Amino acid sequence: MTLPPEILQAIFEELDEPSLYSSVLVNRDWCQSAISILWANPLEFAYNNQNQVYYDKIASILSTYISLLPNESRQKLIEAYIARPADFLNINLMFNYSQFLQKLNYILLQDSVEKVLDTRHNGNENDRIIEELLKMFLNQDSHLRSLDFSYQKLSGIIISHLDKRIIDFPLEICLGNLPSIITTLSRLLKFSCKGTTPSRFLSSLAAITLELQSLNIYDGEDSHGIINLINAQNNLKEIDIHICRDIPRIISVLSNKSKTFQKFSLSARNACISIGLPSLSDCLEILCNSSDLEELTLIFPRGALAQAQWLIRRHAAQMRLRLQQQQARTLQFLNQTIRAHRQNFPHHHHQRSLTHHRRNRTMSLTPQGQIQNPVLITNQRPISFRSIQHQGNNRQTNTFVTQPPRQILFTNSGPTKLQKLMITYHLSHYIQSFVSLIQINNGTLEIIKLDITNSLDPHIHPTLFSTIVNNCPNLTFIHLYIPNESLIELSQLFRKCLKLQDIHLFGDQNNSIDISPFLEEMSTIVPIGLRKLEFGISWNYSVDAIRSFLGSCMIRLKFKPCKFYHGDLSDEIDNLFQFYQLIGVIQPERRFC
Amino acid sequence: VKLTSSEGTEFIIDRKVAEKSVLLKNMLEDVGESDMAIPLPNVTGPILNKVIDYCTHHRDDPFVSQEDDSKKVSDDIDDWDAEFCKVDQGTLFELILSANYLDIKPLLDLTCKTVANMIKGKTPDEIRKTFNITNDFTPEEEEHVRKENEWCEER
Repeated sequence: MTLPPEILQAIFEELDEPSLYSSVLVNRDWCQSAISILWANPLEFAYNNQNQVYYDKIASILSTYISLLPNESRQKLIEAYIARPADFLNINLMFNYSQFLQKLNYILLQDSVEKVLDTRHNGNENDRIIEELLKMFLNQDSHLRSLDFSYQKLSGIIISHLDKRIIDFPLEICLGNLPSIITTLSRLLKFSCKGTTPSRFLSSLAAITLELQSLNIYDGEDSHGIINLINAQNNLKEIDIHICRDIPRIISVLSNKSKTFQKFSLSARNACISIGLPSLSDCLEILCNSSDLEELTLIFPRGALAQAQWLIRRHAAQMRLRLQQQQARTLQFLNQTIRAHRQNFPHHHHQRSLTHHRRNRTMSLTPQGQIQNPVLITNQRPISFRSIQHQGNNRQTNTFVTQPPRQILFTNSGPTKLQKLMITYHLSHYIQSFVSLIQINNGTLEIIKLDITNSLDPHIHPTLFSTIVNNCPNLTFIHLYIPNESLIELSQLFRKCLKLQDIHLFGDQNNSIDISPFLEEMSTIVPIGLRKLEFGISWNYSVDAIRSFLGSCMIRLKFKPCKFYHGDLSDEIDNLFQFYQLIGVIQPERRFC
Repeated sequence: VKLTSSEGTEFIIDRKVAEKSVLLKNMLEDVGESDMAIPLPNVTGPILNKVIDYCTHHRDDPFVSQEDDSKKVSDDIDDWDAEFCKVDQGTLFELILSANYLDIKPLLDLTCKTVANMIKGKTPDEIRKTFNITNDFTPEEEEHVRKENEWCEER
């Protein structure tokens, strides 16, 4: 039985190059189907092969390409004394391999020409050869859909082989010259560039390439061309931007294109604050109508300004804490009342109280069942700004925070199919936005990483954790700060998110807290797919609690070892970990802080 | 929903299971619910049975959009799926063809991956033996193809 070519193609798409090579040699039909996949991006394979760069392989690919150059190009190179007629002798190739190219990685092309042909040519002559090759790749009915001008996604080994230099652009010369080149460029679906890509080039590309689906931009210096290019697009689906300048302008351009987004990633890790730090609410706002969005990544810097703000807030929080002794006492009283109240209900016999931290704050936490108690939930921490604002109590206006953060509330027209949510932002006053975003997603979320770790930020709110617990049954990865108020819901996380594999939870770093009661409760319901578990160093647990937890892991994980990160604990617990490591239940990893 | 295989055997399945197939989904949307059996002349009874097994097992999986270009992840076939694909080659190929015809992307991916795994790491000769293919290259052609592509040989 034979398979039709389109199915053979689908099978070959799954193969690595050596297996493709075997397939090519099987018979004519297989060769026809496999050859185009083999030559989709051969340079990247030759550079990436087994972590070693084989220049002889690269030379063989390049000489195949060069011998495919059209007569006109050959003539030019011969006339300029760059090539000799002898260079083109190897003519009768089986296929026109150059038309199979799907992804053109410009840096690799440039490097390969320089390294392989360098013995005979100077830089200028190399550029002529690159120019003719580019013309060939573009000036035909080609498969080319992706242009890459960035170093990103190349392995470190390749990069170490490349001479870093600014890309100068023979491609610019080709632009607009030939109708077939314009056709090829207009069909591009993916584009990737570095900041050093000339704005001029990007702007002229913006006049031709309108249907990009995927756009990667790294380290923009001059964003003029980038903005033009974004502005020209009609169907952007995947955006990955790592930039440090002009972010607000780029965000405002993106906001007109956001309807079709599927993946959105913005990293402003190294952003220059003085040049305009974007606000998280601006980023979230443009996504309010991106109903197809599946992945969202936002990384914001802990820049100088943000750092200063954080320090001021912390100072304010401490000052306020002192002022609020009175309020703390009220809270204590309230808690005692709750406890007294609870004693009337015999089935709550497993309640525990945790006295914690030095500031005489007493909090009573009970394992599940009590979460619904409205009194507990409204027990905001005494240091919360919001509680004060919400009470409409004007006697303490906060002079340190200039503007209340603008909360973006997502509705059902927003990204309801989100699978991955990753946000790094060192203050947490957008919690309401995150809560609404998680709420509109009905069980689609698989990965949640919210890096909002500042424990003294008054906006950290237990609602976030309970929202995640109640809305994300398909969660496999979670990285989250757990305010003490949410500890009682820890076991709910295990009970409701059965697919969890990778868990990283951490609490208030300034106050250590004993989580033994919660750990014991969680031990009976360890998710069976658990592979990695990390608890923050401020969480302690008793020997008994961790023993019952690890014992349960042994049974439930069926000896597929789970990585267990733990802090500096007592020798007894250490021994326990060693025992369970020996019998293959866990792979302990000590975390250094 | 009623389906008829090529030899006329009738199958009754849930609408939700049937909708795993984009072809049937579109048909059902066009025609609406009806008692008429949908004829599937390209699919034999035993194969249709397997396909229904697959769709029933995966009935609650989220729908994967067509354009999603999957990465090269041939190793992540789960146990049930791997067991499902332990069939003789003829059946496997027929499964591929019917998955293609019925437009069931995850099943097509799975079966293609299974075939890909059968190819991996084999020499051309071994592949020909596995799939019972005759080599129709002339010796010169074969030598040409070998030479022009030897850059991707493993060493």
